Amino acid sequence: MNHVLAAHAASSCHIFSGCGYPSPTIQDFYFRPLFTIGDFRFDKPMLLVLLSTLIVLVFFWAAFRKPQLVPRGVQNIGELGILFVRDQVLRPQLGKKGDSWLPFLSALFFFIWINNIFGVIPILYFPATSRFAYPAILTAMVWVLYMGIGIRKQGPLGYLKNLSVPSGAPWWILPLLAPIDFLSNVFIRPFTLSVRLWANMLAGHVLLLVFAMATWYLLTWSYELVFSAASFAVLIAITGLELLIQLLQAFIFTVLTAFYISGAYEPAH
Amino acid sequence: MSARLKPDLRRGNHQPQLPEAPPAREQDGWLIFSYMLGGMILYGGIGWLIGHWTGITILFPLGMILGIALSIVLIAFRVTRS
Repeated sequence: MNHVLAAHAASSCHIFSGCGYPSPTIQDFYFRPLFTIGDFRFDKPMLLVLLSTLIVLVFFWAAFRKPQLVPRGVQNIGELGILFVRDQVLRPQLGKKGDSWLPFLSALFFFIWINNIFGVIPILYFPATSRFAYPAILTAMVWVLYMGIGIRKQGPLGYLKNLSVPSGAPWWILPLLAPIDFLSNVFIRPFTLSVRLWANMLAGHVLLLVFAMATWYLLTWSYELVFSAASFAVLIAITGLELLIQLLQAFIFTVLTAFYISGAYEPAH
Repeated sequence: MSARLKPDLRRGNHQPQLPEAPPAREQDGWLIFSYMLGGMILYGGIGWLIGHWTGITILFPLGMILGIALSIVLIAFRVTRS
């Protein structure tokens, strides 16, 4: 966001100065590379992803480096986060026997959440998850994981049956239902999993841009300042909404991952 | 009046507990969404293909409606009864 805003601040494009409202475009999601090595262009989203990885690593290392029975300081916050993932995400889906998935699910949840939060952190102002490649690669990982577990635990044919035969359905309707079940479990699941996160983050970023740019565009030293102030107030409100959506999307992504893993472990009953 | 109400109230306290409905799960909405999308894409796609070859264009919307109907049947087996 700040690169766009900086560009607009430099252009000093205001209402009544003869230029129209510079609405945000998809170009605001593409960045000039910070540096290039041959064909490899290192840009801001990559930097943010590396930063978020570092934050997750350092935070949990600091929290559980020397775990105390009575937690103090950063261990308190770390345990709060881990327990949230365990009790709200893992246990309802996988039960106690799924506790070995806690590190994976916690890492996934906090990685996505921190990347989402970057959308409202000053200076950074960009959720890397609003670039489709990042949710897509996370989803590819989850897809390979649950397909792999399903094939290992239930056998290729058993898992195929689990994915495409709804239990309790009469035999004569199965030829019509099984293709839908298979299609939606194998292809639409990963598609919606990635698109949900990506589209929410993209829309949120555009919404923030619209009001941030309007605040600057409407800024004039006359009574029209009211419009700019109103725009700024909406920007603050939208920021609050985005904070909620960022948490919710990270949560939903992790819940669905846990659900898919649990479906791979045992057939639906 | 109150004397007649009392046994009812007392009986109300000792009513046998109804079996609790399973709590709504976070993923159910998304499951339903993904099944409906699947039904529409699959049967709408088949309808569109056959319509494309035979020139009967009505098969595309018919296929989509059939897909939605079948995915609702599937949802009944997969989501609400599991």
